[in-house]
Amino acid sequence: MTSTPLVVAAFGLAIAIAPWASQAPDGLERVASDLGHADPPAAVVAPAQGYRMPGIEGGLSTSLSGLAGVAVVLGLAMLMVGGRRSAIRANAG
Amino acid sequence: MHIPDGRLCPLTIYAGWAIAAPLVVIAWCRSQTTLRGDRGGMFVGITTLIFAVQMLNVPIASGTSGHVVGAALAAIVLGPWAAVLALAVVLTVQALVFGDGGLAALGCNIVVLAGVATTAAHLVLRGGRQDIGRFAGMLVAAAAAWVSVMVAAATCALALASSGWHVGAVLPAMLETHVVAGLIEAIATVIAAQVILAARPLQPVLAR
Repeated sequence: MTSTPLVVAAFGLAIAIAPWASQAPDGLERVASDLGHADPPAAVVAPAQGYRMPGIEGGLSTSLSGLAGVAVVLGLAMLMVGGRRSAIRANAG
Repeated sequence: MHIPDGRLCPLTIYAGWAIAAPLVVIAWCRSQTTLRGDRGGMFVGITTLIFAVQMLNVPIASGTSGHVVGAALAAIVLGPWAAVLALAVVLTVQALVFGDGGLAALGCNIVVLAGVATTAAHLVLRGGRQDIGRFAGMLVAAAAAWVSVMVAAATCALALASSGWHVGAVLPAMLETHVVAGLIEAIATVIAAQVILAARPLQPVLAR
């Protein structure tokens, strides 16, 4: 199996499924509120804070941020293995 | 369990970076064979997949959600050092681009979710290194995944405790809220490992 199916799956999940992800607090946030620790103020706002593209509403915003995120991670990982497209195909793993 | 900024004291933040920076450098050096060799493509695939699945929060218990970490899957498929690197890449992009986990807290998050989670999974996997059957191998993978989440949750709790949270409150609370998340991690890890390893046998990583 090359890793190409994994990359395709990653794009598919981030674009099509991520908009339906639960918005409930995660374990750490839940513990923080249970123990009475107030939410910390956001010191620095990231370009796509909270997996939402600025200026775009709804699920599309999450899908596009997922698309961008997977693309960025894909690019970084490919640089780390030598930046060659062949590195993905060549027995890939 | 990405720690946001504003939760950790400066000393814990510095301690996190003091561990995370050499950890990533060592992982980079020790991963060269994996990255440049025939597992390079799999590194790319697993790293992108982990980013995607970490976006998928599922409801766990009353009003809480959680997502798969992927440290055990990465350790199974890539070996421990490349797994640390994969998680560190994902955590860095999450913090820099999406504000998921703080920038100052990124060091601590790398220690917890890349370093500790992967190490815990790797130690359990090594426990099952003998030539065990397919079913036993699945059980070891499931145990590695569950343990990785629980140990990471405990470490996360200790980081918060070192920043002034009551350790007697935060430690049991973090463990309790991550029991089910660990079970989901175990199921997802076994399924993903079966699919990936069946398509292209990579058992040697498990056996190393």
